[in-house]
Parts: sequence; structure tokens; C-alpha cells
Amino acid sequence: MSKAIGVICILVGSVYLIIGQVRKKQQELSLQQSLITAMRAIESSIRWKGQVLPICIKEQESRKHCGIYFKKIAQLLESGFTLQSAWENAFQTLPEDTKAVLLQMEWEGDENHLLGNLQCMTQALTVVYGQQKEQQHSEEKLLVAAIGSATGLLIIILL
Amino acid sequence: MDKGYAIERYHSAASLLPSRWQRLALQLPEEQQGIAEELRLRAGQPITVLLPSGEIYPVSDMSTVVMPNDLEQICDTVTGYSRYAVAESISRGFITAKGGFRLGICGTAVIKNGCNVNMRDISSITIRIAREVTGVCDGIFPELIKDGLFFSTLIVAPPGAGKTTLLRDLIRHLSDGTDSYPPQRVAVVDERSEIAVMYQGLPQMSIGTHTDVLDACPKSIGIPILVRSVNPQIIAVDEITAEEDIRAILSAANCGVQFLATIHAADKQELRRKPLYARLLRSNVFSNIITIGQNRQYTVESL
Repeated sequence: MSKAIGVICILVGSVYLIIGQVRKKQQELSLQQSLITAMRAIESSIRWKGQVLPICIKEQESRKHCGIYFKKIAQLLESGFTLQSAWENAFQTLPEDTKAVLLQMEWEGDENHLLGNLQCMTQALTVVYGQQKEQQHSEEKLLVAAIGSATGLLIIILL
Repeated sequence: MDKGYAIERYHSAASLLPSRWQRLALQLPEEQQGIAEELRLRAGQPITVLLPSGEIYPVSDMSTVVMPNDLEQICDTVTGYSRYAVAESISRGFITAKGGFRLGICGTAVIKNGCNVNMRDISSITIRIAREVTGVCDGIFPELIKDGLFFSTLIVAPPGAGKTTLLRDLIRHLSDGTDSYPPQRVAVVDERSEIAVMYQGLPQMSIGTHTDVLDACPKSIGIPILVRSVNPQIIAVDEITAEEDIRAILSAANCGVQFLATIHAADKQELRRKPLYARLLRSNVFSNIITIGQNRQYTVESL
């Protein structure tokens, strides 16, 4: 009986940890997706309206998941940071692969160059998102298999 | 003009500068801050302030000189790191900052197909300290109204005489109305962004509560747009200089729109001598002419 309780506790703990990891991964993926949408919106704003960058950035503040980072950039800009410094500063706490893509962005005044940079960054983010989503699928399969095996083991022990 | 307002405008203009230049500019005595007309930054030279008496240094020790980086930083800050958004303006040698300050830019022109399309290697920036002057037309406004109606009026004066200041005050009066004159729907074609001084969609100068502004648009294109889009009673424009401007005015006047416009000329006689403007006068679109004499003295005559 005590063995069974012990096994159950270990199983529950493991499942809890795994669910936590899955949630964290899911949040990362949602953030990446949100960033991709935000970058496309900024590109569109510049291309079709010739909108200035501080306003393009402010417009993204209300986005779920990534809005908080754009809010930070806007605040840093208002406190006197240059756009490039504010951009690099805002994403320091992001996971490395997402951060690496974002920090490659160069905010230049020439419209064509700027739009090109935005497009490249959006594409790079999309690639990272795709790779991580695939990785998540694989991990979920493994997880299902592991939970199945553990459940089987538990049943055997209990029997 | 209120002294406190005049000094506050100087401070607002100085806030456009990088911090080290801002600190220097604010060391200018308050009496001089209140009458300062421009802040001038030239690469390789100390910052200067233009007073009515001439350019001076804000402090006696001016060993520090303006660097090209300072000028680039000012441009970046004022344009929000978005020079592409004001490329048209830069190509004409100026950008407008929040607060209605015009920054004149000098540098190396980028010429394509015979037109200046951009400015690089900025070598100097002039920050014009704009101060709003209201009430200048109080004395002459009743003379422009006959039987409760405003009739098209030309403002004629040489450069620097105050045509735009008068134009803006008249727009405000017409738009807000007075005790004896109802508010009118006024539309402005602000080709050089000097009348309303729009900044990110907001007018930096007071132009009345019933005023629509089409910013940075040539008059010949803007006038028909306004007639179609905002149903104006009065259209105001600054500096009629081209044949196509006059054609657009004549066309809109035929739709019943009244006009308020300015022209560079010393007086009515000079106007009649210039073929382009003579045609305008013969068209009978304008009923009144305001000339600005010395000491900003306004004279209203019928045409």
C-alpha cells in the first residue's frame, strides 16, 4: 500500500513538472506568434501610412503576450533612450533563441532598408517558431508515451 | 505677449536639444529667453541664440562646439527615428517638431532627377521659436464682414511682415465666430505646414474649433479635395504663387466657397503689375484686400 502511495506521489509530481514545462513552452510559442503579428503590423503601418516608429510601437502595447515589451520600449524612448537601445534593452529577459532574432533588428531611417529588416526579422521569428512548435509536438508525443508507461507500471505495482 | 509664455516657449524649444546643449541654452538670462527668436546649431561652432539685435552665445565660455552627431541626434529625436515619414519635408529643408517648432536643416542635398529628395551630412539646424500671437485681427475683423457675411479676402505684404500670423488669427476668428458673427466651416490647405503646424495629427497652433486641415498638400490638389470632402464655407491658403493655385481657387469659388489667402507683394499696385496676380484680381473672386504696413499696421480696402 505504502509503495503504491509512493509511486503515485512520484507520478503526480512528475506530471506536475511536465505540465509546467509544457505551459512554459506554450507561453513561449504564444509570445513568438504575438511578436510575429506585431512586426507585420509595424511593417504594414510604415508601408501604407508612413507612420512614425514611436506610434507604431505604441500601437502594439495592447497585444496579448508581447504588448508588455512594446510598452517598455515606449517608456524607454520617452525617458531618452535611443530606439536601438530601447529595443535591445526591452527583450533581455526573453528566451535566447527569440532574443537572438530580435536583437539583430537595426532601426534605420531609410524606409526600404527598414522594411527589409522588418521582413527578415519576421521571417527569422517564423522559422524559430516553426522549429519550436515541431519540437513541442515531439515532446508531447514522448510525454504521452511516458505517462502511458508510468500508468501501466502503477497498475502492475498495485496489482 | 505674456512674458511667462514667451519664456516657456524658449524652454520648450530648448528641450529639443541634446541634454548638454539644453543646459547651455537654459543659462541664457530670462529677459533674453523671452525675446529669443531662434536657436542655431552649426557643426564645428558653438551654439548661438538669435535675438532681435543679432546672434549671441548663451554663455560667455563657449569652448564646446556642436558635433555632427548632435545634429543627427536632434533629427532622430524630432522625427521619432522615422525620417522616412518626413522625407518630403526634409527634402524641402525643414521638419516640424512637437509644439509647433520648425527646424530648418542644412546639409548636403541629395538630388535625383533634378529634385532634392533628401538631406544628408546635416551641417546645421535652426530651431525657430514659434510663439503664437492672437488677437492681431481684432481691429479689422468687423471690416471684413458685410451684412453678416464674409467675402473672399487677400492678405498682401512683403516677406516677414506677418501675413501668416494674421492669416491664422483670421482663420480662428472665422472658425470660432464672434458675438456678432456665427462660426464658419473653415478648411485650410496647409501646404508648408506653417498655418496649423500639424504634428502627428494635432494642430500645434490654435486655429479654431470648426477648422479642417489638409496638411502638406499642394494647394492645387488640396483645394478640390477639401471642396469634395469637408463642405467648407471658407478655404484658407498661404502664399498663392502658381497658375494652378489660381485655377483651383477659381474653380472652388464657382462652387460658392469663400477664400482667405496671402500673397507676397508690397501693395495692391505691385499686385496689379504682376501678370499672374493681375489675372486673379480680374477674376473678381476676392472682394477685400488687407495690406500690412510698417509696425504691423493693417489696412483693409475693397477690390
